[in-house]
Amino acid sequence: MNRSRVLARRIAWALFTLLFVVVLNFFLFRVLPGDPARAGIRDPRLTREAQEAIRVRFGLDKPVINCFESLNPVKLGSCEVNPFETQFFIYIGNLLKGDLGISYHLNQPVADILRARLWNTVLLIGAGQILAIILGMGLGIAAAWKARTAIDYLALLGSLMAWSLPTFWLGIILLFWGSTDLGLPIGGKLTAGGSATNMVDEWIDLGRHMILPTLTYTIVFLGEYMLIMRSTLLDVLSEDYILTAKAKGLSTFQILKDHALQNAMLPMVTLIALNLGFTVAGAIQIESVFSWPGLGGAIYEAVVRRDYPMLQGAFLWIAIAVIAANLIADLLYSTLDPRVEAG
Amino acid sequence: MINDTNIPSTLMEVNHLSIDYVTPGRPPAHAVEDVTLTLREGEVLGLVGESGCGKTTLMLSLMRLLPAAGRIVGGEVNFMGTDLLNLSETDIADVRWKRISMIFQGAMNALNPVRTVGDQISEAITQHIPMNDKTALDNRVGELLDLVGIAPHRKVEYPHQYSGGMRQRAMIAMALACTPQVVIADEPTTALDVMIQAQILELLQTLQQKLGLAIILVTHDLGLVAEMCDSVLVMYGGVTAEYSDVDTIFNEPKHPYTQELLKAFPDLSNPRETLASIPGYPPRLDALPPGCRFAPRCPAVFDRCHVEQPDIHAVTPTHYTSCHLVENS
Repeated sequence: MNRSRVLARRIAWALFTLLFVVVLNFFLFRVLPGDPARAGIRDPRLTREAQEAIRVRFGLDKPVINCFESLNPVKLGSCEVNPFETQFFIYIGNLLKGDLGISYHLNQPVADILRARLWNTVLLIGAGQILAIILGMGLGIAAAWKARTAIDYLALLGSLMAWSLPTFWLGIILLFWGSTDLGLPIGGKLTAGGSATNMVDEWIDLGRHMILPTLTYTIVFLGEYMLIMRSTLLDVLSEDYILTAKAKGLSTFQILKDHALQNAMLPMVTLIALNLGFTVAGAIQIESVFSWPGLGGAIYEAVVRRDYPMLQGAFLWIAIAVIAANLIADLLYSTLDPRVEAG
Repeated sequence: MINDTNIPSTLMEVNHLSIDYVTPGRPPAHAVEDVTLTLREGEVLGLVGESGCGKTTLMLSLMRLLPAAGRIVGGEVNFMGTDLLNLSETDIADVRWKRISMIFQGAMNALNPVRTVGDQISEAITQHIPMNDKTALDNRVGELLDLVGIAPHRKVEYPHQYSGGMRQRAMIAMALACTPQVVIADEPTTALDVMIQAQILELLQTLQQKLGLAIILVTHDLGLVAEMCDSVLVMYGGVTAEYSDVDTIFNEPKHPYTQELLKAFPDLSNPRETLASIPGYPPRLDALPPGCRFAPRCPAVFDRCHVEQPDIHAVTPTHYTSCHLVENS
């Protein structure tokens, strides 16, 4: 099968998945109890008129979809309404315009809040993942190369420990240690009311704020990468073609570089892609501990405050991240392994 | 082995080679013990024996490719005047493939699945022969593929696009890449169907004659040995049972194991004869019998066999066997 057709099919699948997520995401938040007028703003002094005004502002006065006035509690309605006057199609229409609704809590467009937050998360996760991948793979390769030696056992022990540490606990310990002994900032992205007058000072300030959360993130993910890299590489090194390579007179380094690594990269690519997608959400713990103004923190706040539009928007972003990461992994896979292309 | 006035010179001499597999906390398994053989230029040596009798271990040790647990505990491998066992890691890497190359059992997995066949063959060449000219290298790869009957333009394909027989051909092409003196073929046709087996063997035979290669052919197939080989080494439980030229082995076998092995092979001149089988199993290498390793299964066994391991005796200057019967006669 030719490459462009494979590409087209994969992209079509990704789009189909996205569509499914969009629909699910809409109904998920309609079956959950409460709207801002009833649950979000619990003030008994609120007049009926004011409640109604709030419902109109958030578009909750419209039927959810044809035949259903609301889904929780289930209230049947007229099936004759204009579909474009229902919440579902208004939601889809707004989505196409890039509008994710208005936050119940912050009263600002969700898209704007999330956009700013997303970049903070990407910055933190990007730095953490890159470090974890490089260090984890390096350690894994070293351990597999020196299998069953002291180096191997040490790396194995360290990685298992790192992998099993609870993220929030590690974060708190590092926060405690870093802020007292090293004088690092305890949270946030930049020093509040900071005196940074130029770009360089601001970058340094940002860097100092990033050290602890990035370190936590790296330690938590490094172990997994190391363990997977080590075990796949050991599997690959026992293959017949490795013996062939050795018989051809290649050095151990050449065998690793030219024959083993590309084969061992396949499971790694899957793992990295999955992690990248999920950790947009998975940084919740780290962002909470370090008060990092990222997507994870936003989700945490939104859950606490039952800010449904905010959660809905964040879920959509996460879904897009997971789908995109998987698509990239799929495409990378067929580059790395010629046998995959046919599938 | 060949009584010719024009005796070809000796390429490789293996003297009293012994190999153990060591597992921590357990006694070592003596996989190969005291094997001696000679390989001359252009000679085809057949290595015969049951599964697990140390054939592959012996072959891997000739190129120092034993797995981590394998230890060469004695003997020497004299190749063109140097003992391969004393070479440094860098020097043995130079001998590998350039002087001695190998065709492996598993045609399916012996090629790297994520690199093209041509790429893997050129790698074998450039590892040993500096070649800066890309076109010359490409031509050489094409030439090698052509030699084994694969269209040169298929060098850009991956192993999974080849059939099993083609992969083994590609493997043979790769084995010839640096024009080695010795090719070790470790059951080169095991994983292939009968038609393809015949093709591959014919190809090997043609190439052997054309290029004057010395081949060590590891096989279970006595018919193949009769057809292709000049001399035969029969192994049993890690030791030499019998070693001689092919006519002597087939016509005057002295070791009871060789005799039984031949009886277990169909005879075209007497097709009605029932095939014999040797009762019992080959010995476990970590629990060898105290005397002759074949004694528990030997039809001609007597008391001495159970207590004393037989030495290798020369029946004639070119016929060796390790059996007490030979010593007695």
